[in-house]
Amino acid sequence: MPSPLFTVARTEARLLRADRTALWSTLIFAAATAYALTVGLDLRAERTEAARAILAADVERWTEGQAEADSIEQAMRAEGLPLDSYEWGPRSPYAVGMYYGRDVTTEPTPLSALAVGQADLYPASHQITAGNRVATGTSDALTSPLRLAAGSFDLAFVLLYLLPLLALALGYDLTASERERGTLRLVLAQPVPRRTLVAGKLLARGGLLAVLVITATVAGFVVAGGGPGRWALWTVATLLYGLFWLGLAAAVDARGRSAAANAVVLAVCWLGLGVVFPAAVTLLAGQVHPAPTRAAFVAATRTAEADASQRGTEPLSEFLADHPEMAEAVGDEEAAAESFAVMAIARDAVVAEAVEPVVAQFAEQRARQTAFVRTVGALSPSVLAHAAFLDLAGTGDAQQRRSLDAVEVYQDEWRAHFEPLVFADTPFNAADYPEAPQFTPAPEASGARQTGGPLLGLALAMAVVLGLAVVLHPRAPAP
Amino acid sequence: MSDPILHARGLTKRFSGTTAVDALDLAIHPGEVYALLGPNGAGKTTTINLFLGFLAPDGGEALVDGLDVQAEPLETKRRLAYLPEQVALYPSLSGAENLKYFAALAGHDLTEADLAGFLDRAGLQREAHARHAGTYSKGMRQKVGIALALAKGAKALLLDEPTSGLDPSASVEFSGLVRRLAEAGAAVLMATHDLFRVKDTASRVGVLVGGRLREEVSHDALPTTDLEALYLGHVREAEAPVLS
Amino acid sequence: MTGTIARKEAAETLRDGRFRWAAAAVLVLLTGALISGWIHTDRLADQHAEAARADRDVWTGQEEKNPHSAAHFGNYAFKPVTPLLAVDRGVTAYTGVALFMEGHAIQDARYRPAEDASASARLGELTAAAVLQWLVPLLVVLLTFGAFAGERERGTLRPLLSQGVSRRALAGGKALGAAAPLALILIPAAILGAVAMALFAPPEAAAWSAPRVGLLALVYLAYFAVFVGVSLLVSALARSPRSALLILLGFWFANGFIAPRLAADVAERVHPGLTAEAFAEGEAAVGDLSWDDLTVRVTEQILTEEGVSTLDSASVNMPAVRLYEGEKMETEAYRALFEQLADGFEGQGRVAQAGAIVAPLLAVAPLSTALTGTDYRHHRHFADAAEAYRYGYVQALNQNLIDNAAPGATWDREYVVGEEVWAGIPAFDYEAPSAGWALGGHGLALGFLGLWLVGLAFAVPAAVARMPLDPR
Repeated sequence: MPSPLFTVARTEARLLRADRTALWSTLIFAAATAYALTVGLDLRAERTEAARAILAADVERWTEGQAEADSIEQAMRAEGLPLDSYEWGPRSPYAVGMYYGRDVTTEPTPLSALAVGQADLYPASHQITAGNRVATGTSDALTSPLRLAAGSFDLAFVLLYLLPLLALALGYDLTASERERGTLRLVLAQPVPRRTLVAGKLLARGGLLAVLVITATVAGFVVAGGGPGRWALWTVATLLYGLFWLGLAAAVDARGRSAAANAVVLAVCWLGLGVVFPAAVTLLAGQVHPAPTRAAFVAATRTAEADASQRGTEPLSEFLADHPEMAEAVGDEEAAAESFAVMAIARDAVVAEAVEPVVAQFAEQRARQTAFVRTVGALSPSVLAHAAFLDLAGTGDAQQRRSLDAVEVYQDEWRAHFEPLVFADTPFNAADYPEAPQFTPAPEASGARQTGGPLLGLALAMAVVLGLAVVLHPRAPAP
Repeated sequence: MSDPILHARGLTKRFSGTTAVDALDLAIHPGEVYALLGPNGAGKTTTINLFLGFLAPDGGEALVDGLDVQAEPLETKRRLAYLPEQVALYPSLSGAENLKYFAALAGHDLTEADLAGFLDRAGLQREAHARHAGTYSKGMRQKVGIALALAKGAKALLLDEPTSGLDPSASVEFSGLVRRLAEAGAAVLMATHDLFRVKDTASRVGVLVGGRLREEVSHDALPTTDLEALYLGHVREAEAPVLS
Repeated sequence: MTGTIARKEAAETLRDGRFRWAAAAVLVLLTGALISGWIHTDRLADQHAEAARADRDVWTGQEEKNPHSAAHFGNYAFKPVTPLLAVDRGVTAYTGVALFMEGHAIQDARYRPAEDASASARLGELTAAAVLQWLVPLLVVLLTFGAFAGERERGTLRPLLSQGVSRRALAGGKALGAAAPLALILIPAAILGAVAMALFAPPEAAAWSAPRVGLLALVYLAYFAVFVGVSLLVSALARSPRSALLILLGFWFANGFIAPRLAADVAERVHPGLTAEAFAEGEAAVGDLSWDDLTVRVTEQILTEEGVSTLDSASVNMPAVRLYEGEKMETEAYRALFEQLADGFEGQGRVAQAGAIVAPLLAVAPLSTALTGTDYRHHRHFADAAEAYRYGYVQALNQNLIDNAAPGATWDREYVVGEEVWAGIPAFDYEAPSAGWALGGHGLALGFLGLWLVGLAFAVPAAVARMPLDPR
């Protein structure tokens, strides 16, 4: 004799198969998933192609520079000229280090096909040069602002917005329609605890939800190419999120109102938790920790630059006082001040120091805002699921911070390499090309560590609503 | 005489101020068909709900086969079969599938042959067994309910307005089924206001008005009682202004 | 008769505790969004104005230098904050705020606020527009889904019509009955908003905003009317109140959340703009424009015009003329490139608006952003104004060089100018376009919104005239 739980679940599954709402929800969800995957893959392919093109062009330019330097040196040797002089071009540390520079780029992560996140906002590449610190990290925007504002139709969107709807469609009439049809009285006249009935129904409907979620995530990871560890975390996050909404529907259903009344309450809950609350948290974060606008940053930079250029050679004296090893290389300070390159480096240092407080304030406020959103936002499962998806896909705040840090580290290395050459006025020979620092993109973090918090939050949220459903259902009014 | 199967002792239920069932004493024995006669709102359905454990009493107790409904909700439901006014079945399942499901919930795993047998005994035509229940008439759905009672081997039957909305021939057929179940040893509580049907089905009649059992007519007195006059008298009395 | 029905519907709604809660929530969110929007707008406007002042000081405070060096030194244009940003943020988070204007190069505005926001900001913004576009329609659905389906199920529809009420009057009454409670929420919010604007906004901003706010109110009223119409239509035809509700919630969700993304995505596929590669190629092509050819051309031109045989005997400085002509040449090429980029964006916007045939929000959202001055067209208007200013001042400096540099073939190292020239270049002063201009580019959206209204004006009475009176 099978247990009543499975008897209920099995019959419920049969009833679901005959139910058109469930059928249509499933079909729409499947179609949306398929569409989202093509959108995500297209976007990733586009960005990968762009990154590779930039990388290839950069390597080509670098190799050509080296070859050209080599041929110049051969010509000089042939003419018996010493190699310690140079002209503007591939042998000039000024030209190579401060004008040509290098374009660094990071390829999109494989899973950015599933969650575009912030990836569509960031520039495809950064030009790294010495003596130009404050200019990194911005370029012309080539994606339609309308499209950016609307957001991408990626798998994360489908799971974040459509999955709750599917779960609510599966759960809003958990017992309500049986009550309205009258079968609930007949069922509860049998020796089955109401809790078992609700659990059996949830098992069947949750099972369908789980099958759809797992199918969607497996499909996503197969086409996007992600590892099993991330797949497991992603799937668990999605399941917890989906079950939260199903549990919420079950808890609301326990009030014993009509299916239509449940639908009304749940629509309001969805809008509140999924849309209004996250937006309110973002708004509040901006009000509690206001960051200066970029206009203030630009103005501060301009003022500092103008100031530095009006102070004549003072910035150089300050720079040399701070960097005695450079003073040695320079020798004659007055002669060095004639060099545009030397002055550019010195002024850049002065400007960077001057705008440091603005930059620091900016970074601090932004970090506070992010922390605020992460803590207060944890009250909304949508915010948690969103954070988990982006962290796992490597398209969230943390990964972006790491990528930018890697770029900044590289820029420091680049500066440290070329500044002494500029100060000592030594040529950048063909043989020096391989010695120049190479960029290594930030390793993609596993995302597992950051995901721990959101997963815990989601598990808690799910436990709360399922617990409510279990506690409230036996107390529901008479069928 | 044997112990009563359906037994109410001082059973009382109040809903926000009004008393729906007022100190009801009732004892229905195996083989008896007890008709609870009363106007709408008299407390008939509330009484059934109390026996089913859908409501908790505010006073007294409802016992099924000697077990308190509140203390032993599952055990008492095992012994009960219940036919609501509208027997609702899952429209996308066949009658047999509906029966199989409800019987399984009651702990009876029925084979195809069992299902056909019970449905036959309940009088459902063979061709209807495998049809979707959405196409059934009220009478056919009731037969599935009766088949469930048979399958459960229920000791007690709770019938809520079973004959309302049935055409006369279906009504006669249903009464016959109920009588046969009683003859087989079930105790039947039938809430109704169908005076005509009570006469040829019930073995005992109670008149419930305003939640109180006004009068009981025994089996022996039944053939000679003008039920209509009795019923209307009690209703008028309850509605009449209280004279000081 | 219509009035009687409307009064009864409105009274029923107002007595409903759930409605009161919902109304209070909408009112709180709406006023909260408006007030915080004002604070945000105010702070932004101050900072942008302050930055513009600082940049102007830097410009006029330049040391003496060659005028063309000053063109390289450049100027910043900071996008002025529209006073109606408090109502709708539009695409402002995704367009830059600071535009660098220098010789030889055109840039779009940079530093998009979204780049500096955390990822969850993209889950949505709590603005008055969000409340009006998402929340109020939901309220409309909840108020009206049972209008006919509910009466039919309760069995009150037939008795009601047997009283001699015409079906048309019934439809009108139901519509008005839904509108009245809504007005009770929206009118106080509108008054609060107007008072706040009158109190905090500078008079010229208020004057600029007034016609736009008026039109905005009309657009949103039309949007709510569309939702009332759709609700009544579905309620008249649906099998039960429950199925009416489910259909309407589906419509509400698809309209509010699926359609904008889908439309933007489809628009990009249908109307692909300039790719990053093509843009880079275009920029490289501008860089490859031959300055040597230009030297030859300019030299010939001077020699022919002046009838001299060598530049040494000419009356102007050839490199100065060459800079002037070069700027012209580069600007033409750059402008064509940026125009292509911007036309692509605007084209995508129009394609997305075509989706309004199924989702009215796709007409309302662009109209709302247009009227609040937060759409891409307004951003482009600003960028174009900045570009006109850039070209004007760079060429004024080049002209100064032509007029004053020592004649001949070589660059005049000695010629420098100072503050009076810097101060003589007027500061960039942007004037935001009028409300008429704002609507100009959105004929399609207006058309679709009108189509919805007209279509529903016919469809609802027709459906009510034919609707079944008894539950199925």
